[in-house]
Amino acid sequence: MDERLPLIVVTGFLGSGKTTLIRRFIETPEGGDSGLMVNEFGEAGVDHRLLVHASEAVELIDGGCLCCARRADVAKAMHDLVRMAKNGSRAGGGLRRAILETSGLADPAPVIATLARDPWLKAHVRLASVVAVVDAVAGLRNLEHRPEARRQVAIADTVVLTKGDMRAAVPPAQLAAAVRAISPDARILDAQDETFRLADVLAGRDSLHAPPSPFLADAPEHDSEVSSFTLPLEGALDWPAFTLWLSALLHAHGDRILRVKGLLRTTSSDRPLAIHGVQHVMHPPTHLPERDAGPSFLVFIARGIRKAEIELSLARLLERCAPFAAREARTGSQDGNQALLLPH
Amino acid sequence: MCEVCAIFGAGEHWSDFARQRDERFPFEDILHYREERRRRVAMLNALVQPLGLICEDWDGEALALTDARGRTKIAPTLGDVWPVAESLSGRSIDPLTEDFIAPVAIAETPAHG
Repeated sequence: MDERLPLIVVTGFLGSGKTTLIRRFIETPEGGDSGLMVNEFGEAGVDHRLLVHASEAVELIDGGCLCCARRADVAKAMHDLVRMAKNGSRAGGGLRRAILETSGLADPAPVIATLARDPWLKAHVRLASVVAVVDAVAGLRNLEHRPEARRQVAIADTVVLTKGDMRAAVPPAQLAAAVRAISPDARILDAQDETFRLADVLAGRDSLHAPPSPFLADAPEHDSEVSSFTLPLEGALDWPAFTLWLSALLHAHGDRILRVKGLLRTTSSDRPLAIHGVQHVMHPPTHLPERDAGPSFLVFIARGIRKAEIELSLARLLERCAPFAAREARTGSQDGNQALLLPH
Repeated sequence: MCEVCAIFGAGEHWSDFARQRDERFPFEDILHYREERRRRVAMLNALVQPLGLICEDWDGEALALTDARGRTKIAPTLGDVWPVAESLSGRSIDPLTEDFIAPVAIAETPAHG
């Protein structure tokens, strides 16, 4: 059992309703045992004052944007929160989750990278979910005109639509379509929906490890814009060759690969493997029961990288590594043991 | 586990999870794990030898890269191999370019243990 403190990163553009959502959650019995970290852009730290009364375990990361030079502050805030969570006798003891609210202008990826690069944090904190909040009044315009807003949605596994009850709100279907154009597989929830439960989003249940699903269709590609596409795979992928390729790709282009995920059948495991990564950071793959798994595929949400480039690069590497295939694969004792990129 | 180095001999990088189950240390699958690493090192050598480098497994956890002058650097994980290879060879590594795959055929490295 994973006993690390679940971390939920809540991102979203300025004024999208992140703080309201979090405050509502921590006022519920389920949310009371949450530790909060807030990064407010600028010096005011207004949100901190709002939240500090709701929970004693608030760490404010002051004075700037998370994506710049403040990673050390993020790490320190998380260190402090984990210590508080472990200390049952003092304020903050018994925390069951940490919620980090990023600045409205922040790219949440460096926060995730901070977590992955700190061995102590890695041993004590697990990233459970990245939630993007998109409001129905200004959200559509932000997604169209603000690259930060698009990146926040691209990196999130869950998108919560807010302010759908306001007069100037765009219809939820229109907003959801705009979100899907950036991240076709995101879990989209409408905060106005009567079935919406904050605990489903913020309680720390792993939504990153849900079985991934392929996109129905690739989003349109624009130069230097965020695009998303699916690479269907057939047969068993040679895991050592694949890891070489993906690690080199993330090394060279991790800043432009916002998310990569996939469901793979590999030469190395009897069961399907779910992989999930955000920019330079890959999460440990998880095995899935065969019954939960559909066809194999890889999904990319990337900026300025075309599907054809990725496809060609993977095909080239698999071909180059074919002489090193597993013995049983070389002797052809199994069917379909060499992964192929399907024509489409 | 190596009792001298306190090394478990199993990496925790995402690429090391080529296992039959989601366990932190693949004791049950250790031979399978080692074989997969051996193949990966052979593939790595095919890619880095044209850059004048040799890659070796380092206790089943890390990877050691050595250049023609005998300089060795340890890459703790597969993700660290690429910046280390770039620093030793002075070349940039980009799998989206054709240069990434080695143009020269290189024999598979012999199996160890």
